Amino acid sequence: MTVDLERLKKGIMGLSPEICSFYMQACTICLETQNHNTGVELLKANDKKAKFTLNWKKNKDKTKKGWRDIQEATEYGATAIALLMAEKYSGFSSVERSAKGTGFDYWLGEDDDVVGIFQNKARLEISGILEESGNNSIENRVKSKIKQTERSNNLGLNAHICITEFKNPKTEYHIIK
Amino acid sequence: MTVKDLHKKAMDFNDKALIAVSKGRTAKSYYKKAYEWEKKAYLLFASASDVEPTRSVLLRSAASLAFMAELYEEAEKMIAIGLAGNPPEEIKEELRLLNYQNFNALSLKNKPNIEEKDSKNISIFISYEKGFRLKLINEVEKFITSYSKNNSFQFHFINPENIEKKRVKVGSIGISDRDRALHGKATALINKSVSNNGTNSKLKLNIEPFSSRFSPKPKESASDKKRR
Repeated sequence: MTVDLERLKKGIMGLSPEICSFYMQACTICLETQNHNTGVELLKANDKKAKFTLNWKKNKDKTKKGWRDIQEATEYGATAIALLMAEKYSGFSSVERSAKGTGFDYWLGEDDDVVGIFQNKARLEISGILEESGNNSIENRVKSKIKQTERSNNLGLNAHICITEFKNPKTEYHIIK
Repeated sequence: MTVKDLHKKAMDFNDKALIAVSKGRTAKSYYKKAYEWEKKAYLLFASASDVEPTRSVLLRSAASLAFMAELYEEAEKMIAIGLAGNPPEEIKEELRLLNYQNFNALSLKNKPNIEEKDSKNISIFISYEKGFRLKLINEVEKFITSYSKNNSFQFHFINPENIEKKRVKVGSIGISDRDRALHGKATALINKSVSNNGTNSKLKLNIEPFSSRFSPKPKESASDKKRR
C-alpha cells in the first residue's frame, strides 16, 4: 500500500495543515537521516502482511538544518505515522488534543460533541525510536505504554498505542481494550 | 463560539508555540494566548456541563499552558479548580504533578536572590547524551544541584529557550524532558568564570531523573502518625 506523506500537508484527522506539515517534515527528516529515500517500505511490526510504501519530496539542506534536535524530530515524526495509522486502524475519524507539558495528549473519537469534547474518546499514546538498540526497542516501548495506559482503563476507555522506528522503518499499532 | 471552537483556538496557539520552540524561537506569548483561549473554553464548558473527563482535561490543559507561559498563579487556580472536582485518577495524578512543578516555580519566582553578586559570571551549558534530549521548560523544575568551591553554591534558574545564550543566576537548574526525564540521565556542564581573579572552572554534573529525587514524598497517613 502506498502512503503519500505529502498528504499530511492538507491536515488529517481534523488537525490543521500547519501542524500536520510540521509532523510530516519531522518524519521525512528522520527517514532521510537514516539514509532512506522516497519509496522506502514501512513494515507493520505486528502484522507481517501489512507494509506501506512511503512517498515524499526530498527535503532541502536548509530544512534539514532547521531541525537541530533529532530526538525532537523523532517524537514528532512518530506522530505523523501515528496519525496515518490511526486514520486507517482506529475506526475513528478525528483526533482531539489537550496541552500537556511541552506537547499534547491525543484523544481519538468522533467529532460530534461541541461541549463534552473529550467524552467517549480513547487515548492515543505515541512514541518514536530513531534506531532500536538494546532495551530501546518497539517491543519494550509497547510494554511500557501498555502499563502506562492501564490507568486509562479507569476511565473506561480504550487506549491506542503507536510506536515507530525509523532506522529499519516499522510501526506497531495496538488497541488495548 | 462553542467549547470546541475555543479549544481549537487554544490548540492552534499551542501548535505555534511548539513550532517556535523547535526552531529555537521564543514561545511564551503563544502559550499565553493559548492559555487565554483554553480558559475561555473551560468557562463556557462549565456554564453548561461538568462531565468528566472533559472538565478536568480542559483544566489540566489550561493549567499546563499557563505554566508554560510562566503565569504560575493562573496555573495554580486552574489546578485547584481541577482537583476540587471529581477528576479521573489519571488526570488527578497529572494535576498533582503539575501542581508540584508549578509550586516550585512560584516559590523561586518570589524568592529573593541572596547570591545575586555571584550571578554575573556563571553560565550553564547543556549537552545531550545519545538518545536523550533535554528540554528546559521553565525557570524552575525538577532538579537542584550544587557544587563546592569553599562552601557550596547552588545554581538556580534557567530560561526555557536559548539555553546556550543565557546567563543564569545562582540557584537551581530546572530541567525537564517530558517523559524521558523519568528514564534517562543527562549531563550539564557548568562553566563558572571567576572574573576577579581570572580563574575558570568547568564542572560536569550528572543530572538525575527528577522523579527519583524530587517527587513529593507520600503523605503520612493518620495511622502512621499514630504509630509514631
